[in-house]
Amino acid sequence: MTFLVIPDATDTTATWYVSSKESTTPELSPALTIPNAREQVLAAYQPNPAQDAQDVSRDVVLSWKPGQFAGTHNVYLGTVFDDVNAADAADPRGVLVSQGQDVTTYDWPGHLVLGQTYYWRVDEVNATPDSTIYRSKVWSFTVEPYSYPIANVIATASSFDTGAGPENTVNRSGLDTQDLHSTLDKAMWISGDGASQPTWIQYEFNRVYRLHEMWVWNYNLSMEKALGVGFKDVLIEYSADGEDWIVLRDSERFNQATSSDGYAHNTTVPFDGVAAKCVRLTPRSNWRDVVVQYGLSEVRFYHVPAYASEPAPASAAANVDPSTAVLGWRAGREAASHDVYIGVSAQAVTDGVAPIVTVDQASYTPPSLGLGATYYWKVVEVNQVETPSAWESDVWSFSTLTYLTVDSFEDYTNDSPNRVFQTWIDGAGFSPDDFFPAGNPGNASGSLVGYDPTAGNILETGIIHGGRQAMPLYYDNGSAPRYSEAVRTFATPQDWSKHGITALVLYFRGDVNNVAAPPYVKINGTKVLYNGGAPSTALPVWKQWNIDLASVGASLKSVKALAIGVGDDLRR
Amino acid sequence: MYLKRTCSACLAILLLIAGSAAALTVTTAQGNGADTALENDGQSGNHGPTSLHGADASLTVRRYDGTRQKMLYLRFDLTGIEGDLTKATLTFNVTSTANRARVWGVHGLVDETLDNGSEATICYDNAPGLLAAALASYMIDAAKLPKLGTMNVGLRQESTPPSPRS
Repeated sequence: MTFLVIPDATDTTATWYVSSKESTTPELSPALTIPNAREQVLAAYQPNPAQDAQDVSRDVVLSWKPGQFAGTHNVYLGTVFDDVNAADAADPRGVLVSQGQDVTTYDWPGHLVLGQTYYWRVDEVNATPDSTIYRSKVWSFTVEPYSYPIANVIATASSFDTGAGPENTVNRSGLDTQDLHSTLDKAMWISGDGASQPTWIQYEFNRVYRLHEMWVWNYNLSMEKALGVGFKDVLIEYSADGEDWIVLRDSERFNQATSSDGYAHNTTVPFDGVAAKCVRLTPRSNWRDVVVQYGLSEVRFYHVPAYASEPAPASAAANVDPSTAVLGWRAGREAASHDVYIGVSAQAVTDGVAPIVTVDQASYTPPSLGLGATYYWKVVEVNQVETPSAWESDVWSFSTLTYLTVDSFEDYTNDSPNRVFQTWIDGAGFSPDDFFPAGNPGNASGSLVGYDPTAGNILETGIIHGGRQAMPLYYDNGSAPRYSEAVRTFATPQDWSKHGITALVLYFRGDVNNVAAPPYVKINGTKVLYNGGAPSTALPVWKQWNIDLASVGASLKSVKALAIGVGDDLRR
Repeated sequence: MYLKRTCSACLAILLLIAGSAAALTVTTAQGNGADTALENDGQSGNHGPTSLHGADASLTVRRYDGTRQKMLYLRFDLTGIEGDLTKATLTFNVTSTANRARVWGVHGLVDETLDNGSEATICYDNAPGLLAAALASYMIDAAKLPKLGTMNVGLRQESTPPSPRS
């Protein structure tokens, strides 16, 4: 669905700026909210990479959300739209790269071609006996280029005329959106009239890069053909530290500019992949040897990305779940292995003395992240057959959640299989249905969880502690077995001994009409009685119960069951 | 089995705020979504009818007939989503704090076959539903881009455009 949005009336004063999906907060991009909606998806959707994505890693793993009834998936991938659009299983056109696969990801063996635009689509094949095929749209993405322009270059020079400083050669001044240069003198650099010789101009990057090439827009004043101060034969040197210089070209010929607006760069200097932080250009001649001055319009350096980039989690990310965190990055182009440094000390990571692990893929799962901590990490891309053999990333950081949620009670609904008493088994249990053919007889205690879903919300939505809802628990300890509890059994046992977990926190609220009785929890059957006394269940205020897990005495490595109950029957 | 409900307590183990299960929100950043600005004025720089803004992080909106003409072009990927689009809510994040409240018109593209263009190439000159117009003005093909309604825009406002589809 496409919208055009424009102010209704002409207006002399107001300009608005709207965040787009390319902003630093893509979650604030324009949004359409549809009430009472549901997803009825037959075809694959939400492709990753997103439609028309640019600068996609050559090692990208394609993924998508599946159609609702898909049994298997056929993946088409190619460089010609018409082939991908027209191909099918009977006429694969060389682009049916996977047929009948179960998973919703596809990993092209090897690397995709740099700079290439690819088209792809996924056919969802319904499970038998239906086997109907639903096509997705044809999506496209473009793989990362071979090299990238270097930003934030600092230019210095032996001399310059007022208003025509060396910064003009790296700040895009004079260039239009098509990279065509003007003839404006103040958009270029020219050395000072009568300045001491030799003239030079030097460029410094923010780090060492593996240089691919340099584009040159020569001096382009409208009278340059007659003036001839543009660089002609040039000594090109580079340095990794600004101290020791190496000659790349002793006398490289730079083409003369056109002396007209709309001038495209007409000199490209290969740098052969040298590692450099600084480049110095020293003209040995200009195009007319009449005036002892030298000038340039613009230069642009391209580098092959040798170091790791695009960290995930993004640097400075907050609230990372330590139980599921996986570190990822875009690998340096020539990396054979990856040294990952990670620790809570930024300095130790910077200095390379933090714990290190070497991996052969661009991802790493830290084994023991803690709650409420900030971690620093970097990746050193290593290839012993290259020079240099190691490329170090920036130091990145992320902070972890301060707690893990056991159950927020926010996801339960009135409908099976999401009814709260189907997870928290109470004294009454529940009836069989399509999802639970055997039903559940309950635990025979005096508890009853949730409200009648046919009469309204199954959970409490008025008396809540944050979020939208809370779980009501009725108890009746007036007869045997004289306790009331609801038990949740975890399908996958939880490990509460990791991540520095120290406490289980339970928020509960009583009612003035209750017969006071102490609440308790049981962890794997080990009972912990609330130490705030029985009256708490008769108080209509929320209580925060912090349970010190170290003192519980239960095994925390494999928590299979958690019970919440009311009653002080010491036999339990 | 008879159960005597004599007492009750409400319990929550930690907290996690969850949204409404009944509403679905799709942003331009999802799926085949797109957002760009169409510009058709003579402002110096990249603002003419062929200027491209699909990669811009901040999209400019301004209507000053005869001087500036900048509008939003938004696509949401609603593949597989069923719901009452007549009650859909369009939301923007307006970042400029110096702006004033105004009324914006919302038009919807009728023909779904024109719905798949690349934001890397969409500009005023080639956007479906827009007609050639003098610089700093605009012209809409009302059959292709009918007006659906209006929205009041301040720093963060919402409105409810009806569906462009019958």
